This record gives sequence, structure tokens and C-alpha cells, in this order.
Amino acid sequence: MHKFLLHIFLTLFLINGTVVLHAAEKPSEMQLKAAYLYNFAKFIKWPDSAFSDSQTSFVIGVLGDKNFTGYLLPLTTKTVNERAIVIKTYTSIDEASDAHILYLGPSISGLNTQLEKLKTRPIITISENKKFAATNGMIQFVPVRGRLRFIINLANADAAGVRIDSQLLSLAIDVLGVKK
Amino acid sequence: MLKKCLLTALISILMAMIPVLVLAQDDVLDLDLESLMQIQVTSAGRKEQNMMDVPAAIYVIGRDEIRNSGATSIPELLRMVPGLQVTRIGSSQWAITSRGFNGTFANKLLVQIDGRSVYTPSYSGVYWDVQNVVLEDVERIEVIRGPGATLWGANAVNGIINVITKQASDTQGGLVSIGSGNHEKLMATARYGSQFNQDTYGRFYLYRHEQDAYETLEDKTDAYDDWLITQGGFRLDGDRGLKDAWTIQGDLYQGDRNLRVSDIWIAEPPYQTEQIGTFDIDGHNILARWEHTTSDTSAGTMQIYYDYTNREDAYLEQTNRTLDIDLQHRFQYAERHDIVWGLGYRLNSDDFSRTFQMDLTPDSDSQQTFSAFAQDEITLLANKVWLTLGSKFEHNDYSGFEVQPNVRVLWKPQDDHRLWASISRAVRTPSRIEDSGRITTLVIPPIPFVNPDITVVSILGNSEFTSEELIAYEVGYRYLPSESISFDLALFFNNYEKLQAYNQSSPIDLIYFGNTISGEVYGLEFTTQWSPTDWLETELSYSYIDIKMEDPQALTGIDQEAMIEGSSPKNQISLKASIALQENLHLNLWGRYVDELEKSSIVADFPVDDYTTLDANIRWQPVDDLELSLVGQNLFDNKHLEFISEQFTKPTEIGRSIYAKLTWTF
Repeated sequence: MHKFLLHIFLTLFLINGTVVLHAAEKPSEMQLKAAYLYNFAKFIKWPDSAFSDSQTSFVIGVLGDKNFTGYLLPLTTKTVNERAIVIKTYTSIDEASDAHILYLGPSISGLNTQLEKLKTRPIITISENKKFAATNGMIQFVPVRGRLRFIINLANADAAGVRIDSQLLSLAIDVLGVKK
Repeated sequence: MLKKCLLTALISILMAMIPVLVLAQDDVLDLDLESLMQIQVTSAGRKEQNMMDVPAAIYVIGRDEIRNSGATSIPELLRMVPGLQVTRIGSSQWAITSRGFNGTFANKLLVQIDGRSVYTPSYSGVYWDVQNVVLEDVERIEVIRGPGATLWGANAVNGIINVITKQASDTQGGLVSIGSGNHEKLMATARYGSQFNQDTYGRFYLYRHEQDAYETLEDKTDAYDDWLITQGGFRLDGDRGLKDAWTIQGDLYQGDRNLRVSDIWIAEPPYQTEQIGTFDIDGHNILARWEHTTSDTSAGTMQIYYDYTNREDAYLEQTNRTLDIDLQHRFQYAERHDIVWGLGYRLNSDDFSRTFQMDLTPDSDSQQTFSAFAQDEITLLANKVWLTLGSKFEHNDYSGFEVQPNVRVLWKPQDDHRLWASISRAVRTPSRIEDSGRITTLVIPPIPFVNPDITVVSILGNSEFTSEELIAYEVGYRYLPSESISFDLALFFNNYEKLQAYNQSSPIDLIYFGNTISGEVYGLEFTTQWSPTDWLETELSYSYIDIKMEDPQALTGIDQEAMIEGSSPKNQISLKASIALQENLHLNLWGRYVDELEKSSIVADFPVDDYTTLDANIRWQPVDDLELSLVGQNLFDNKHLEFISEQFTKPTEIGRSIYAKLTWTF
């Protein structure tokens, strides 16, 4: 039994010692959200009407969370569908009509009514506010087992004319508004 | 052979799980979605429940306390809980209880590991040597002193211990630890956690613990109580959408204990003898739990487990198989009512060997328990006064129908003050041995010309034996003047009826289990935590207990009342300090005073002296994923006696222990 256990421990040491590269310091929740936003864009198709011409930039907008803008700035060196990424901070939802992705912070009063205004515009709305996806929002971040996951409301996305790839839908922890 | 195969299978699975996550801070933007979903943002799965608002005497041992304690097992950790009496009989044997009635077979404490009861159903009590968990994977240990029968059921008479392990999602990656010392011959753990897909997490572990023997009090010879155990297990946690979460977990263990059993009765001269041998302990269990959330204010849980244990002793070999099914539903009703109700079913089947020392009739039997409970927490005055009413209803094969109600009040006069009070009834249901056992207590050799045969005197099981009953009155006060200081006080008065006694109609008649002892216990428990600076945390606990028992029918010459009264220390003090010398260097000190035990054993006619101990350890993290610790336990004296077992074990002194441990996480 002794030898057997020793063997096990040695094996474990060997396998894991060789395969695992160590993780550096953990990214913050804000960094993680920024990375999510960028990744979502890869799986979403906006209608042509969302861009005035081939030179139009891809706009990621932030409303109600100024601190978050800083975490998005590294994205400006990247592109979405060969379009340059521009980060904008808005002070009211009326300014947000040029956004392609709109991140909404936690401190917006009457968010649900405000979203009505954007309902048919091709803007992917993202927030972690409770019931966001259950009402007028499209993608809602949810904490699950200490990780950041997301819910998608497909009906709201359809109404806005944006198409979400099935691969993204399959990664969502829940998809709402699916036609039966 | 089977075990070897299973362990090998476990290893193969471990090997197949190749680590998936490799990342650095800069390139988090370059990760794909699957990788992003694996990154843990908050470290704790569930936040510690707000202890302040629990209308019961609760104490929680959290991750930091476990890490700082230097403890190598659950019993050692429990020594820090005020109101518990934790004593070591020998290397593998413990006597642990809450609020009195300590003994090897202390039977008024319910212990659960991840919702699985480890109270030995047919024999009363908990065998601590087989209750092993990887301490690094423990989320917290909740200890409630006093009755918890309404929610937890029979045998939660004087307290409940809930060991809660971390979710698999909180133990991702590997951990290898190896430790060794003079008493701790070997402690080795290997754990690996991985994510199988976006919604499923798992971990596997292997664990090995070997402890050396102590010495007997009498002649300082080898107590021959060294032992070892090997254990493996797994836990899987998953989600189906946001409303359903599930858990499947299991463990498998096998161990060998050396024991010097003295004395045991035999049928041949010299009739009473010491027996030395190696005895097997093995078992396995599997549990599945499903939690369904219907809304913000309503959630249900369904749990099923199977538990198999087999234990050899010099005087008995016993096997227990338990199947348990539990349903629970919590919901809010009309804003003021927080209701939880549930149904339970338990089937236990047992097998016992027959020896001259002990037997049970029939050898194999099975018992069923049906239960239901309901509890309503009513907000009487918003944010001010809460009233909790509840009861458990249970039917078991021995004592029939049992009702265990409680009423609790919590008052919040100000934000940082809480007062609570409760009255509850709880029962300890009969065990198989009290119902249908036989234990030899004396053999009278043949008397020439008078009696050519030996005469065997036994204690006999009694089908009329009924439940022990408790009515408990408790009050408590908590004060949290600031983040860095807290006070917690609990007072209790317990009134017991129908406690187990050895009855006899006349001095020449048969001795059998009866319910004739009654008595009163009162006491207090106090804890204060104080963190004067960010590098120092201290905790002081004090507990007092006074026990008065009487048995109007005592005829047997065995003074059971004196044993109950004398087996718990009147005063206990624990003082802990955790000092962060540097960010990666921690010093922990832990002193304890335990009062004298006047009498804890039938066989010994001397007390267990009071003692003061000091544990100290240094934890050093030279790099992030490596920790070295040096631990000393019982540093003040070479060795001391903590408890004398009721029978079968020679008084054994608990020696000083020094060990070093290396923990590597990756």
C-alpha cells in the first residue's frame, strides 16, 4: 500500500508539474467584463444599416458607469470585423443611438422605460442589473459559482435586428425569449 | 483488491483531466469566451450566513480558523468551540460532546458532513476516526450547541455539527500536501479540481493519514493505538440554467487501527484478558443533491444518499447501511412569514458479529424512520422582532411517534445588539444495542461443589427502552460594537428525563437498559473576538457547565450518575492569537485550560487532572503557491491524560506532537 501511494503522488507531481503553466494575478471583474464585451462582438451580426459606410467605426458605449470606460480603452488597438473600435461615454440614453454595444451601469433610474427608446435600434444592450434580460435588455451578466456568466434575451435582440450566433447562445447559462 | 482498483481508476481520471486554464493579466482580452467563463472573480462561493441573526448558540469555524489552527482532523478543530467538550481517549479514539454527557459513545450530538449524517445509527455515537475530510477543501464547520431537533431531527439533542466542504468550483486546480512529525507519521493529500464543461465542475482527492501510538498512563508502555487510513473521493457540482443546481459526491476509505483492548471478558480462564490486535475500518458513501429555485422567495432541495460503514473491534464487528432521502422547501408567505418544511425517510440495515463479550439479537435487522417538519419565521415587528415556531414529527421503529417542537425569539434593540431566547424539546431515540443488545459485564468462575459452570452477568437490551427526553431553555446575547470586536454569550438550562440507566429489579436479577435517570444541566458559554490591529486577531472563549443527575432505581453498583456528572470539565478556557509577522509569515498561538474530570469511567477510580496546553505554529509562504508550516501541539507538557474510556481502553496519555507540513497549490 505504501509503495502504491508513493507511486500515485509521484505520478501526480509529474503530470501536473509538466503541463500547468502558472496563472498570473487574477484579472479584475471589470477587466473580465471588458474582455466579454469584445468577445460578444465576434459572435454578433449587426445589420448593414448599423454602419453608414465601410469606414464607420465600431462603437462600444458606456452609460452610468464612468469607471468602466478605462477598462475598455485597451480594446481601441483591436478591431471588430475590420472596423476600428471606438469607446464612448454617454450621459443620457438619447446620446447612445450611434452605439453598437451599449453597457449600462448599475445606477440608472427607470432603466427599463429608457430602454424602450432603443428597442428597435440595432444596439446590443448589456448590463448586470437584476431582471435586465427578463425585461428590455439583451445580455445580462450573472454571477454563478464565483464566475461571471451571462443570460441572453433572444426576442429583444431579434426585435432590434441583430443576429446572435448560436455558438454564443450555447454558452449562455440561460436564453430567454425563444420562440417555441 | 477492489479498493486498489477503485483507487487506480480515480488516478486514471485525475490523469485524464488536463489543466485547461492558462492566463496572464495582460492577455485577458485575448481569451476566448470559454476561458473567460472559468475565471473566478469572487473567492468565496457562499458568504458566511449572518451569524448575528441566528436565534441559537452558533459558532462557525471558517477557512482562516482552519488554516491557522494547525489541526490535522475535525476533532482537533472542534477544541476551539465553546460549549463543546472535546477529549482524546487515544490515538484513534475521541470522546466529543456538546453541553455534557461525554463518553466514547456520546450520543446526544448530531454530526453531518455535507448533509450526510455520520451518527452511527445502530450503536449511538460518532466514530471520529472515519470522519475525515481534506481540511483545505472545507468551507466552514457550523456548530450549534443546544437542541436542533426541529430542523435536523432526532439525536440533535445537545448540538449539531455541520461540516460543509467547498463547492468543486471553488477548488479548481491542484493541491498536494505532505506532513510528518513525531506523532503524525504521515499526512498526505492530493487534490485536483477541473471544469468539465461550462456548467460542470469536479474535484478528486486522495488522502492518507498515519498516526503513531501513545503510551498508557499506568506503566508508560506502548498503548498500541497507532493507526492509519486511506481515503479517496470526488465532488461534482453543476448548473442547469440559473434555476437548477446539482451536486454529486462520494468517498471511499479503508483503515487499520491497532488497539490494546483491556479488559474484555472471555469464556475461559482467566475470564478477563487484554487483547491486542489490528482492526479494519472501511466504508463508502455517495450523495446526490438537487436544488431548484422557483423564484426569489421560493426554493426546494432534494437529497439522497447511501452510506456504508464496516467496523471491526475486539468485541464486535458491525456493518451499517443507510439510505436517506430528504426533501425541503423554503418560501415566503405574505411578506411576514419565512416558511421551511420538509419530509424525510431513512432506512438502516445492520449486521453484527457475535462474541462472548457482546451480541445483538437478531444479528441482522433493519429500521425505518419517517419524518416531517415545518418551521415558520415570523417577522413580528419589521427589523426588530422575529418569532420562530416549528416542530419535527418523526416515527421510528423503537419508540414510535416523536414530536420535537421549538419556539425562538430574536430581538434587535439596536443594530449592533441582539437578544434571543428559546424553549425546545428534543429526544434521543433508542439505539439498536439498547433495544436488543447484550454486553458481558462480569464472569463468575465456577465455584467447586456449588456451581460447576461459569456465571455470566450481562447488561441486556430492552424492547421497552424508550427515548431520552430534553426540554431546553436558552437565552443569548450578541454585541458587535465595531468590525474589530464582538461578544457572544449563551446561557442554558436543560431538563432531562428518561435517560439511559442500567436497571435491575433486585441485586440478583438481570440487568437491563432502562430510562430511570433524570437530571438538570446548566451552563454558560462566552466568546469574544478582538482584532486590535490588522496584523493581530485574538479570540477568548470560556465555558462553564454544571450537571446534576439522579437515579432512584440504582441498584447495580455502577454509579452512572457520577459518570455523567464527572465526565465534563466544569470550566474550559481557550485563548487564540493569530499574528501576521509579515505578509507571508504567520504565527499562531493557542492556549487552552481544561478543568478536572472527576469520573469518566466505570473502571478507573481516579480523576483526570486539569491541564493547560499550548499549541503554536508558523506558516511561511516563500512563494505564492507554496506553504511551509511547522506545528507544535501540547507544547507545555510532555503528555497528559484527557479522558478515561468507559471501558475497553487503558487510560492513555496524549503526548506532545510536532510536525512539519508542505503544501503546494497549482
